[in-house]
Amino acid sequence: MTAARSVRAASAGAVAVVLPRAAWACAVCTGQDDAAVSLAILKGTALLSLLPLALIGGLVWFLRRRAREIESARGAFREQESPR
Amino acid sequence: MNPPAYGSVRVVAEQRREPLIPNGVMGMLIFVVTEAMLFAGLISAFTITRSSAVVWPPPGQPRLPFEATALNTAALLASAAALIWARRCFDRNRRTARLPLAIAVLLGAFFVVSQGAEWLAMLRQGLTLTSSQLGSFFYVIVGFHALHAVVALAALVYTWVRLQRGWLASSQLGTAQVFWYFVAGIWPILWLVVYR
Amino acid sequence: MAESIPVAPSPARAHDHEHPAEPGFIRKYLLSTDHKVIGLQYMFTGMAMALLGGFLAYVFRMQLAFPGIDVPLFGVVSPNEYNSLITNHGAIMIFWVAMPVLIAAFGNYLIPLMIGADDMAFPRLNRLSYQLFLVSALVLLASFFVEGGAFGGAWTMYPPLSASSEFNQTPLGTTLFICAVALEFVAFLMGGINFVTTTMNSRAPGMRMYDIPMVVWMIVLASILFMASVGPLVAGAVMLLFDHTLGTAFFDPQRGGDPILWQHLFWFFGHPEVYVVLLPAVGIVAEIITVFARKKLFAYKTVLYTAFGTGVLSFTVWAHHQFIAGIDPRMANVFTITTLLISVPIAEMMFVYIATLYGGSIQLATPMLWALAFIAEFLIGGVTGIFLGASGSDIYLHDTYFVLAHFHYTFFPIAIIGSFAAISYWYPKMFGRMLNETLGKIHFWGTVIPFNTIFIPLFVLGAAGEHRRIWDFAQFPELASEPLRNLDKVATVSLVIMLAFQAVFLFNFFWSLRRGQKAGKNPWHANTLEWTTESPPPHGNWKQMPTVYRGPYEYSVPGRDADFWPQNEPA
Repeated sequence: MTAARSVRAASAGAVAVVLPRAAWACAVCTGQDDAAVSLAILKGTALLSLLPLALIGGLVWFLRRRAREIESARGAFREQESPR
Repeated sequence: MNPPAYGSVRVVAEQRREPLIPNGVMGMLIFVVTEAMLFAGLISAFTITRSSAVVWPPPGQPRLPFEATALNTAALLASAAALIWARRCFDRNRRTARLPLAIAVLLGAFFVVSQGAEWLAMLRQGLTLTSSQLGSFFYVIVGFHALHAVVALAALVYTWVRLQRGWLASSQLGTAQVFWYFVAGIWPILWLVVYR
Repeated sequence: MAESIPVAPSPARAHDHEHPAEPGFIRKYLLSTDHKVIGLQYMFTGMAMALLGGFLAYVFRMQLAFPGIDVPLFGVVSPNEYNSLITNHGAIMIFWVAMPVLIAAFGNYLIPLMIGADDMAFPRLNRLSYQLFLVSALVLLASFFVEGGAFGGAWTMYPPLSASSEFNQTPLGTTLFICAVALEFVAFLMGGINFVTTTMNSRAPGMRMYDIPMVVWMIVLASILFMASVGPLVAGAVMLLFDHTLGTAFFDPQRGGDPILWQHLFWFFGHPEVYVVLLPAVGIVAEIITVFARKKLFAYKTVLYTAFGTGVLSFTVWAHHQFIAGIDPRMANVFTITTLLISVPIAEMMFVYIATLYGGSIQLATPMLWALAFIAEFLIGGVTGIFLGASGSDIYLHDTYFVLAHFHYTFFPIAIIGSFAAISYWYPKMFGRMLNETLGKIHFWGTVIPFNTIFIPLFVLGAAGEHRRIWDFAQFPELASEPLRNLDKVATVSLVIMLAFQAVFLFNFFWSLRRGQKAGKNPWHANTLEWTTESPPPHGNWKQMPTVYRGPYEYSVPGRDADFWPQNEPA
């Protein structure tokens, strides 16, 4: 695949994702206007999907910083401490 | 690759398991991640239900006292600040941490008691667990938070008692701190989402 | 060991001084804080629940293949009983078999031994975790005997079936079911906190991040995934319990609630849960194939990073369970993409394992057979998932036997094949004796062959449009054709054969406890730390705490006489 074709395929995919929902067949639509609920579900989905990643990422970042601090504080002992 | 030349057996024993952070604090941090997700689940459920309601608050139901609860919120945040202050004092000289820790406990107790009073007032105005979606979510979300606040307050009282008797370890204070910061930190979010 | 490091006194040891005599039964088994005792308790409870889950499957499969038959050991299956049977089969196999055996049992047993610690970071929390788990199992069992019978609204507990006893007709059974599931989560939360803290804080000196055996990493990652995903479901379970018992209307559309909300909260946990049980099994397989191929794990860091990647992606795929539940089609598109993406890291792990096998001196001992079977069978499960991950084909296949066959092709390799691999590999360490190889191989073939003949027919049935959760297909003439019914009979007969072969395993397990060949410290010539202590390890695990000098997979290192190089052996 050439670069131009990949770009074209990728942008077609991106357009498909953001097409208005009216363009999609909907299995169980009731016909009433539920844009507000739809948006709320989208927000809830985003919150639930991204929050755990942020929390775990934050914890890992904190632990790594902590490990660096401890290591630099013990710098002088480093060679003796590591058995390798 | 030579075996390590440890200075003495004792040094090895000390270096053997130096934790990054104390076990209690680490365990509490992981627990807080779970708890944060619990509240995230409740918030997202509340947002979805609220967006599908035609009128909010539901007909015949009182409006939640957003402004009056600001005082409680301020008390809880001040309590967390007092706890930060207590940690600073504790690191310098343990005995000086008594006063800020006592302030944190009292402010926390004020929050719990006035939230209880608010619940009674809301019940009198006809907002119950089954009266409407607002009532259901209010009592479940705020009730979950109140449960955490009571447990965290008990933990703070326990640390204060240990401090008073001179038994408080730094890691124990740290564990209570993490939990209390979580309780105080999640509250303004719940307040903004649920009460408004 | 050149370095002998005296063990620092720990609370567990101080405890021993108080009771120098051999502790009594209650203190030794019911109140023990020893991670090995707790691990074995989890394992035996899980095995007992697996027998129960298998029995439930046998009863409803008999009903499906021979409708209306008087099932031996059970009797005639009524529609309500059928619903209870499938519900509890699913819940038991996931929450009371896969999780306790793969995560809690092996996590408890292996983590301290493999990282060189004398016990867990919080031994008493660990004790409490098992006790709560036992209570949750008893609560679930009790639900079979209350008025109205056990809950029958499927393990996913969708409202309105689960939210009102008007619909489910099991007023007490539903309450007990939700309580049992919630208690079980609390138990695993405690266990998870323990696993992560222990691995981060209690490693032997010299054990760096990349020296941690893969199975420990995987159990830790699974625990993190579990703890980060379980919160919304606990929230949802409380709301559901209130709906069912106190009369709130969180999920009742007539009173302003939203039944889709439950699916939202449930599947946010439900999908990461798949990876929660998958990762430990993947780790177990890594340990076994390196030992029995006598080769270094191909690309340790790749496996680790792909596991991280799986963890990250696992939080963003869950809405694919709701493709036909009326979610925004644009959202369905995004989730199709993420769902197909997650097959990339898993496929990468499988390729790494095949590369590990390539050129190794492979010994086909029983644990290795199970590990290879895991790779082969899980591959089928993964590949059939592609059809379900794509929202277009999922709309057709949703809730058919195709879905059922797909997730059994993932869960059976994970929970059953993975557990048997682990049990046959670590049995010598747990009990000090070897399992019988011949019986082990008979059991292996007697399990894996019928497994395939159960579920391959179900793929065909599903593609033909046969819906899950139907008590008797005679009411649906277009599905009750002779060829389709015969496929159902093949599946059921295979299941009975497979269950019968489990007797071989049980006999082997208990016979070898007393009569098996003595194992010694390191029967498989493996590198990891648990093989450097006695079998079974004493309380406190080591007389002298180990020091770690190298990674866990240094097999067949050029220039060495022995083809293995234990982690604690100085150069």
